[in-house]
Amino acid sequence: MAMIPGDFSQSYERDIAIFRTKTQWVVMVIGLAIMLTFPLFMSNYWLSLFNFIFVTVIAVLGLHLVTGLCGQISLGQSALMCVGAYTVGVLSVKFGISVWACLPLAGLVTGLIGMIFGAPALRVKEFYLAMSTLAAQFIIVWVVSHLEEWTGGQLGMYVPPATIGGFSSASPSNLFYIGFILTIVMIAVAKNIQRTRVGRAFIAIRDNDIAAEVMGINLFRYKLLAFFIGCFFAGIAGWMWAMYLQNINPSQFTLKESLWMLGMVIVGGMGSTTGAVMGAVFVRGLDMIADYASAWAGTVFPTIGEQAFTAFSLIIFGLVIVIFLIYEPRGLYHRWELFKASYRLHPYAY
Amino acid sequence: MKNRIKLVGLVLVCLLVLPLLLACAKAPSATPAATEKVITVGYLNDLSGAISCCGIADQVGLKNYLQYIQDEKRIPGVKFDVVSWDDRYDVSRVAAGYRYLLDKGVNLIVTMAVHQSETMRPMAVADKMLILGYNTSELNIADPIWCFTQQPLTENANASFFNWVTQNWDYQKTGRKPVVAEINWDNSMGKAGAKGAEAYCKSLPDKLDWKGTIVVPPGTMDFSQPALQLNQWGCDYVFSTMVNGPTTNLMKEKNARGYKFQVCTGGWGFVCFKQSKDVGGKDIDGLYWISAEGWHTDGTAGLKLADTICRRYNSASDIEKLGYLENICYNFGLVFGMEVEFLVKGAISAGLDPTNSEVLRGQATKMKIDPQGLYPPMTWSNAKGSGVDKLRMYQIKLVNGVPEPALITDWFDVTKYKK
Repeated sequence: MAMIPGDFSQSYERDIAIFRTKTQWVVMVIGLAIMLTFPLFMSNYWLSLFNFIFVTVIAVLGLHLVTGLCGQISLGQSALMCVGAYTVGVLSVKFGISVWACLPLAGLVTGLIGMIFGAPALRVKEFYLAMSTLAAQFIIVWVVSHLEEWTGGQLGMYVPPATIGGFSSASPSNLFYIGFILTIVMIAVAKNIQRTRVGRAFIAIRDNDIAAEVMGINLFRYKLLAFFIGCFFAGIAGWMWAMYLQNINPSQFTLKESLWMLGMVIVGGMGSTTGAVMGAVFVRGLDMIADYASAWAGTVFPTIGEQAFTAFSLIIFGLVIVIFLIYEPRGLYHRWELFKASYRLHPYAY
Repeated sequence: MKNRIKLVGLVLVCLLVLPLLLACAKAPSATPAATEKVITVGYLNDLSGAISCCGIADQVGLKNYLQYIQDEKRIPGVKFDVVSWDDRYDVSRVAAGYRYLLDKGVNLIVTMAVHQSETMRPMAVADKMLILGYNTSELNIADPIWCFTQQPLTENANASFFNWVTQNWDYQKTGRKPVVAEINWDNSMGKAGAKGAEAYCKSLPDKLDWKGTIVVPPGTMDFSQPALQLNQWGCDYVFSTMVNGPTTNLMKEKNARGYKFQVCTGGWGFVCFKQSKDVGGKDIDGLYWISAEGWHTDGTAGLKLADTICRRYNSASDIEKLGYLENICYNFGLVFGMEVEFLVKGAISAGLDPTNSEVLRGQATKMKIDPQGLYPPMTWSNAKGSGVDKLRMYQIKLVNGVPEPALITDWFDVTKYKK
């Protein structure tokens, strides 16, 4: 991280710290405090949108660990979210287990399932691994939709909200608090994994797996671990998804969503936790802006027609992403770093 | 210099485009009179995705009917406003859409596909928000009901077709039972359809030779293998619980290979008839179609009204281009409009607030409307949520070389097959 000129890290601890100055801590605490006040003045629509973003951020963070950090392409993140969501559904509805207790279980079960589909990672890589994880997308959704006794099949199932006393996740504002805390915790976990021995092993595997193995990194163990952790995140996102909709159905977990999540990692900037968060927020936010723009345009220009603008919004949405990738292929995070550096170094260019 | 030329060019383009946009801009609408009540109807459906041909026509029908109510002053002192949300046939967008509509202050929500109302249901129950849907599932109409739909359960429609087969098969002449099967996309509608077909056919082993269900992944458009399988089974009748495209392709495949089995599809299978006709051409000749909706050539009062409203509020080119008159979804929209009219009128005549969703829901449980052939008489008085219990049977026949649905059985009770 670039520092203000003349300010140097004088210890290893400070060099690897996430927040290295008091100002950064203060800004973060104020930012979080402001976000916590959102339910006091925001409408349910905006809170619902934030809840959707929280789900996406958690799932994309998982993908960031597998793909961005460890270099193992995964095209099944949405299906793995499905495992998490159905773990909550089945355990709470069929076995009467508390929805809160299902939170870690959703992560663990998904992590274990993810390891099965991640196992081929030792033998295959890149596009071949992509195909293997693509299989996960179809197999998981197929299995879930055919275990009708347990999952309700294609008809889906209702999941009870998480409650504690009078507090229920059915309300968008309450779910906002849950989602917010979960997201912060998951971001912290993802960021810290990156700074540990495990994270460094992931990066070594991503950069050159043969060199990593020569250095003594157990490829099989770490690749599987990457899948476990990434899928654990997907499971937590699945839990949050089940709380968000309270109605889960296999058709909600599509390949398109999995591809979008990979797109979010790329748009945000591969290999960066902040980038993964930025990518998820950017893509979901852009989607929302396109919706608002088309609704507004349809009201102002009814002759052209609401439908025309609605379809147009998808084109604009796609165009923005293509233009973005052409002009900033290293992702939003890189642009953010450049901005910070130029701000700190001002008025000097370098 | 180059930059300056570019800038001047850009300004010129903007100046040229601006009048065009302003010409399309909406004239400032008159603000409603102080005594006027505004009912805001939320519309959540697919306007740019896989079933947008249906969503767009449905939306136009709803808007046209609400405009018709206003223009004809059928509910004095009430104005209608429609706020829409395009879910792009993506379930993940339904919850955000629901919240968006609530944020816009809607008094009730009109939607279509079963996954949309199912997804909204838990939130609608918590918020006490009335949902008017098109088709339904058992989950959707479980207590407490907040979603009231036009269609019966899909399983009933499929069973009704096989019931029709038993009544029309010549057992004496053929000396055997008809061989029947079902085919569907692996989705909730397909599953429900298969369930109904299988339960009914298996319950009559002496009347029907049930071969089973062929389930294909959602999105399948190539039916060479399934059609071959159906032919190898020696099927006489096959029910397709799929939408236009796949059913049309199944017909094309069957005709190309000379297979003899007859195909029937449900209301969903021909919602956008213009599309099926354009894509399927003469290949859809002979296809059975079991549906609650009336067809625009049936000549009943409701359909004449639909024709009048459509021509009054849409340009001839739009009618031709989008095929509203051949799109059953336009009629769904009109029926949704009639439902809204009934609910609001009922609330006002009872001295209740028609902008209160809970009041509207109370009216829904008493609803009884007769769309005069556009749709069967509808009632939700049994509070079961699913609207009609009567269907019609059509068969597509070539009229001057053009496929047209011809009515073969009118209004049969979909619950009659039940023992």
